[in-house]
Amino acid sequence: MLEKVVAAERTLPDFDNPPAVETLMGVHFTPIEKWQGPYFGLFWSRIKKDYPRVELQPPVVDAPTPELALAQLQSRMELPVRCWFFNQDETRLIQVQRNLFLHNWRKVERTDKYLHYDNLRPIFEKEWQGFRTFLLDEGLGEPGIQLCEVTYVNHIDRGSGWETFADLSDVFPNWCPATSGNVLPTPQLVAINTSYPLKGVGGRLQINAQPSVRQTDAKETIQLIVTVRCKPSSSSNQDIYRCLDEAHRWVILGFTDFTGRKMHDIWGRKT
Amino acid sequence: MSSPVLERARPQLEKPSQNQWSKVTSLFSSAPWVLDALHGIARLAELPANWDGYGSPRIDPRAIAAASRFVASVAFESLPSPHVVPVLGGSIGLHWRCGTRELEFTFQADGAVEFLKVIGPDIDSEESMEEGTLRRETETSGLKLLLWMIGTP
Repeated sequence: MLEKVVAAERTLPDFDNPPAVETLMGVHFTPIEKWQGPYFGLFWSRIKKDYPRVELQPPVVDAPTPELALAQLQSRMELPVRCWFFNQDETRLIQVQRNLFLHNWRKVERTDKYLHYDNLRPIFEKEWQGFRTFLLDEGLGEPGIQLCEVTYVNHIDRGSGWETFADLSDVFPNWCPATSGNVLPTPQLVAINTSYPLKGVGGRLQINAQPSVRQTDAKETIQLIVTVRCKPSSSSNQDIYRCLDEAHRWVILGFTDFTGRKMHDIWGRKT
Repeated sequence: MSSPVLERARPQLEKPSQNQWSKVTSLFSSAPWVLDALHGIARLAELPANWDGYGSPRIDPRAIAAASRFVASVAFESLPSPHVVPVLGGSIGLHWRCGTRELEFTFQADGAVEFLKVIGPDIDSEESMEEGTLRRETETSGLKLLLWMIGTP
């Protein structure tokens, strides 16, 4: 199924060889009141065939809405746990905590084919519906959705469009190295954090560029993370999927607008 | 589960998104010497065969990758800058010195990492030396040795 390219017409910018190494989509919800540690295991028993390995992680502690902030303050004494469930070839991951359900895809080998959102959304739908069914079967109720999230993690390696930070304006046209008195040399490192309001969809687009070393091969790279979080109209699946589609659209538009045309050529921009 | 204590002790893993799976080490939170060390290791890839005049092969890419990963994993400001050297047979040496203590790691093409600890002013004395191989969990074992070198119990 993963190999099958969905033949949907793509109207958004598209690239032959995008720098994305990981994408995720999912939902943040009001903490499930009756959730306890053993439910992680019960849920795993339902998906273990497809996700045979599990890992415990510290929880995500973001509280981007007042509802989530209050819930976190009230639950400080509870065991802080997030579970990662890995699929067989460890290219996909489900993340669960009492207020969060996310699905990640990552590129393991540099030669791995990039999986488009069109391929990944049906997988998310299946897994999310499975989680909702689990919650209902266990009497844990319906999750009250606070936010939908789509995040793309990109690695722009040194040597692929940039050599030093003097080249950074080729990568990010909004970066300008000019100083008022030309006293300072070229910076050794540059990081960029930006946030844009998305008024039409009641959300926010965040872009973070960090000079980094990739831990798998110690290659120097600029890690560019593009995240959109927005609030769906309701907790229905239909509204969640609509919201994720809109978040994805803004991630792609934001990524394309934020990066330079020289880089688009390197990544093989098609549309 | 990651220990919160260990998390604080390790180099800052950049997590602008806590939901991220792929891991990187931020160069902003790494020691200033890390970039120089990584560039030094990368430059060794350019050495031709017989770079030492004694028939040594080119530096093995696996040794380069292993040494680079190790440097990225011990990117602490409290460590001094290592000296990066090519080693006979296509391996890479990272050499640290702190006061009277010295530590050398040799990254070989087959994945083996050898170490040599030296303490005291008389480096010719056998009693001042200890050598061995890091067989498993190279990063953890190597970090313990580095902590020994800077005098942390």
